[in-house]
Amino acid sequence: MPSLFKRLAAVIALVSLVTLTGCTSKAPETKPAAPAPAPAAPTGPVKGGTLVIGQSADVLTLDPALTTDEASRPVQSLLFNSLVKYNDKMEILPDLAESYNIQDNGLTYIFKLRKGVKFHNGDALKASDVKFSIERMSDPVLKSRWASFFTDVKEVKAVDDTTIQLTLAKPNAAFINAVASYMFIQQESFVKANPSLQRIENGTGPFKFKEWVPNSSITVTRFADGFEQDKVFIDNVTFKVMPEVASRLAALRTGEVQFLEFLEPQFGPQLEQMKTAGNIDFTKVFSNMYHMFGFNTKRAPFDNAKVRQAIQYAVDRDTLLKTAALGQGAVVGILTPALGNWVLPVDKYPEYKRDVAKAKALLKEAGYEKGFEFKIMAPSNYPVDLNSAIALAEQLKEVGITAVVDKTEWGTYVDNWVKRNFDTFVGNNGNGTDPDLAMYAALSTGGSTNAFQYSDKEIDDLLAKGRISADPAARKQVYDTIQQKLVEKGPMVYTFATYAYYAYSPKLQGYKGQVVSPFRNIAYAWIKN
Amino acid sequence: MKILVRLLRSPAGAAGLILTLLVLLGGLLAPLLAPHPYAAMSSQVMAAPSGAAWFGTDQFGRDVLSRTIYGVRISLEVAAASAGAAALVGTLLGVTAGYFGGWWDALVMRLMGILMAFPSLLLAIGIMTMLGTSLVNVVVAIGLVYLPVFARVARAPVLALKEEDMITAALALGASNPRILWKYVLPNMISPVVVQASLAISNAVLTEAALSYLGLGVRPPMPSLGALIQEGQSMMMVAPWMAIFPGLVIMLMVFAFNLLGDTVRDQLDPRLRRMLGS
Amino acid sequence: MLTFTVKRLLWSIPTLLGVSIATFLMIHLIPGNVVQVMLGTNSNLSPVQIAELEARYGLNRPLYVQYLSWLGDMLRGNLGFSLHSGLPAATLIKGAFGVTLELTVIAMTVSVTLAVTMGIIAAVRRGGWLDLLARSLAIVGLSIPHFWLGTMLILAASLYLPGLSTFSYVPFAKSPSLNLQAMLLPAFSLGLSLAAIVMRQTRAAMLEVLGMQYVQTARAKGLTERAVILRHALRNALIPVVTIVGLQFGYLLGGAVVIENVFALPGVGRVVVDAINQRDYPLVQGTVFLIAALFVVINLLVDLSYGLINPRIRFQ
Repeated sequence: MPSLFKRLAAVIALVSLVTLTGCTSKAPETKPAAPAPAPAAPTGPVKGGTLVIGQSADVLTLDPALTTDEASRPVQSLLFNSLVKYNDKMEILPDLAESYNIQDNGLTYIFKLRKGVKFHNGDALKASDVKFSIERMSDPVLKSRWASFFTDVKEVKAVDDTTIQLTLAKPNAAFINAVASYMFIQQESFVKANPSLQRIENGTGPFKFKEWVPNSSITVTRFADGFEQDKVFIDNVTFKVMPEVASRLAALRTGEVQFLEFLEPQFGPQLEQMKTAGNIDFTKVFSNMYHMFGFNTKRAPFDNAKVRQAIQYAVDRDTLLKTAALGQGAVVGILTPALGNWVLPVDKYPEYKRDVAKAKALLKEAGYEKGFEFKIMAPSNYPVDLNSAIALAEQLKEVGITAVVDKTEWGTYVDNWVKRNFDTFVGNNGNGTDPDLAMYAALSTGGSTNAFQYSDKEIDDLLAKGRISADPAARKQVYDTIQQKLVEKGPMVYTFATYAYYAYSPKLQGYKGQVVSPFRNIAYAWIKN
Repeated sequence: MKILVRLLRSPAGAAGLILTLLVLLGGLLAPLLAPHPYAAMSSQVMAAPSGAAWFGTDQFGRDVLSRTIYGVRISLEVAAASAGAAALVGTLLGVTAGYFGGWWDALVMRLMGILMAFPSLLLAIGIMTMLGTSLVNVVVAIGLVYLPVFARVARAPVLALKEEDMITAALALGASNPRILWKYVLPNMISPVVVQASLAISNAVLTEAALSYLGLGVRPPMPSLGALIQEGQSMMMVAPWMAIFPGLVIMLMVFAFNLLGDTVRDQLDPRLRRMLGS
Repeated sequence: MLTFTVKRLLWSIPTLLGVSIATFLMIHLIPGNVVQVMLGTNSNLSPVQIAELEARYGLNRPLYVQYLSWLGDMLRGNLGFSLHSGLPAATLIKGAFGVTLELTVIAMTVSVTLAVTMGIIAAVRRGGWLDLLARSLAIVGLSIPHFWLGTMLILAASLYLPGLSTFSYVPFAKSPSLNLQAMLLPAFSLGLSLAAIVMRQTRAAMLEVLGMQYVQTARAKGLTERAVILRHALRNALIPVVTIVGLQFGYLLGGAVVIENVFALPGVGRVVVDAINQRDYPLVQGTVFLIAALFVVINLLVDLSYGLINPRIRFQ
């Protein structure tokens, strides 16, 4: 799946994320390590059992540095550890490092490694393995997809057997999040001895690789010498390949699989139904990606800010959310609720209150009184975006604009996106917790994801100001202005953000969903008899 | 006329004819029959079937009945255009290839061989991915897929007929090629072509549906029957009417064609009639 | 006959070349490449880095060079490596063919056996209730979209018969029973329309030959009806049936594309569709080429069987 990069890029720099775990409130809040005495039934953790997970595609590789597909991450997150990790509240916790501290104004990171950590082959973890893994990931020869998150690393030093020191070229507040998201540690001697790590591994994770039946399943088994041994209960985890979502849902219902991930929200109502019937349980988490409708600002009439503003007024976002995403989310601006205080509430945008008359007036001012015709490029494999385009086209009819939905196969869509060969398109973008990460690449003149070819001096200046502003209040002021201006004249109509769902058998206990590595937390859940 | 009378006399034929006419009329009169335009949205989202909306509504509040009626029309357009084109071109190629033989036969059958060496749906998928989604592209893709079948089906009996005495005799008597083709070859191979054409139309409906199922059909919001099933499939548990009704309509439609095609075939075949003594 | 076979095999070489060129052109005419698909729309790589990646995949070479190098490797028995997964294309294709062959062979054997028998009975008892039943079943079978049937079966099985079927593929070598359980619903969905087509064709062809002169002659000679049907009529009636079954093999593979996706079977159809979507050129090329080769062989067998069934058709 192509969206892995997008999804992980979206969460980079997450410091806090709003997670909605209300749906699991029935599940006991017991900490796996310290089972609380259960009042009614014995619900404490029990050892044993196999958890079967349905996935849309087969795993491509067990080498985390060379992973490009979405299906490989979940199993890797059980096989490997990073230095730090996220908990379900998106806080950074120790993983292989028992502690870390940041010095020199954010230029030096010192990680203290946990003692007695063993690789799956029984060898002890050394600081040199960490150094090797970080350097391998950023080695240009390897061409790792994830290298770009570590370009700021100037030097990695194994100070002693348990101390690693990283020196950055410039301060980067997002760096620790990159470490938590992408930096899986491998053993130096093992990596050097094996030219291909596609189907073998030697990690430190709670589970180790057991069996791979190509195109069918991959199974991992509990690592008895793992450093988190006492917190891990399930014996085996099997990832089964089930490309069709209908099969996955059916298999969840019959119990053939016990865990599924749904990134698209349209299954929400069905999952609610199954939950009410007592067949399943689920956790839903707010995604930090926003769906949008973007213009090619180099093509007429979208080069005209008045036309863009008219469309902002013509769109009924509440209906879009209700129809295209079945109401499973919230209407947002460019910043999703994940960005907390930075977010300008949507009632601050006058354009968010649909006003057909105003839209028509603006079109008239722009010289398009009689409307015009254009295409909306929509990805065929993302139903939420495709459906947004269908609803948008219908809404735009009312102001006299004819939009043709150009349903486009993903590879062709990306090709057109790269070549900026479109009138408009629907899609989604991610943002981290910092507004600069959310906006700079997408909206500054010549930015790497600025497919709109948007170029506005005022916005550029504001973005530059936001980057260097040290005073939080002044910075907030700057980004409030940008958000407001972007809706007024920017290159996108922001529509909504949706939930991701993690659905599982009611027998699975103690699972806590989170958006970055939802599968990692399976390691700490257990199966009720 | 005689055929029609005979057709109506057989219960299967009569049923097939009436159902087919109903389907065709439904498609033709879609703008009159459908209670709403196919893209019109309302606030009645995912409403169950009721007096107001017989087939219920979808997630945009669009009337599933209206979309199904238009879906019949669009599926019919695609099927008829693609099967018709394939039958015409394919038969012509197959008959001439089989009859004349030589380099023409070699060329035609080589090209058909290349087309046929692709599994049909894969060929259609490849063409659609290349051309992009649209009504015309679907017709082209499906038409190309069915072309070689007609060529082969038309050619095989011609090969066998060439061995038969009457053609050898006609040739010996100096009959011209077009005359022989028209008088002896065409009537004798019409029945396999008719069988094939009736199959191709109903198959084309199904192929279009399969392409749509894989996301490669007509452009939304246009409702082909296949596209409707695809849209409804992910809603099976909360709004089953979205996929079930169009699915049943496809079945009914293809069923009607097959029933009619079957009976017509029986009636058209001169030798069959002779055998039955009618 | 031997010379005919050899000739036909030689004859098929240009067809296969044509197929490989057509496939090559088609997949390269589809916009985008594997690097773009991999990076998606949030790539923060510079154009230089992207060009480097494309060069690593050999995508910067002129088209004819890419084709000839593929052809050269292929003739030496090397199908190259999948661009998407990095695994040898031959390994992936072999696995996929195994699955699809199993699915199609099960579907075909069961449906053809049933259908030919039903077709003969229907023709012989023309107009009787068996004829009516067989024809009705056939028409219903032909009318159901197989992916729709598949989805409905999945839903029904999960709701009412949870033990009947599994929803994920298990290789035969690993567990024959689980494997067959996984094949049950797909083979049924796939085989239904084939059975219907074969039944109809058998019936039509039988009716046709039963009306012919020589059959009537045979009858006049006083042969038993059984001998007339089995020895004289059936032989000729089988020509179009064999053609159709041969042709249908292609449809089966095509149908397998959808069925494999509905039922999550890792067969050829799914491999090719995924490979097209990922712009995984070597995998598409290799798989389509092998399918084409298989088709050539099957078509040859179909043609050879004409001769066996009706000696009047001479091989030239």
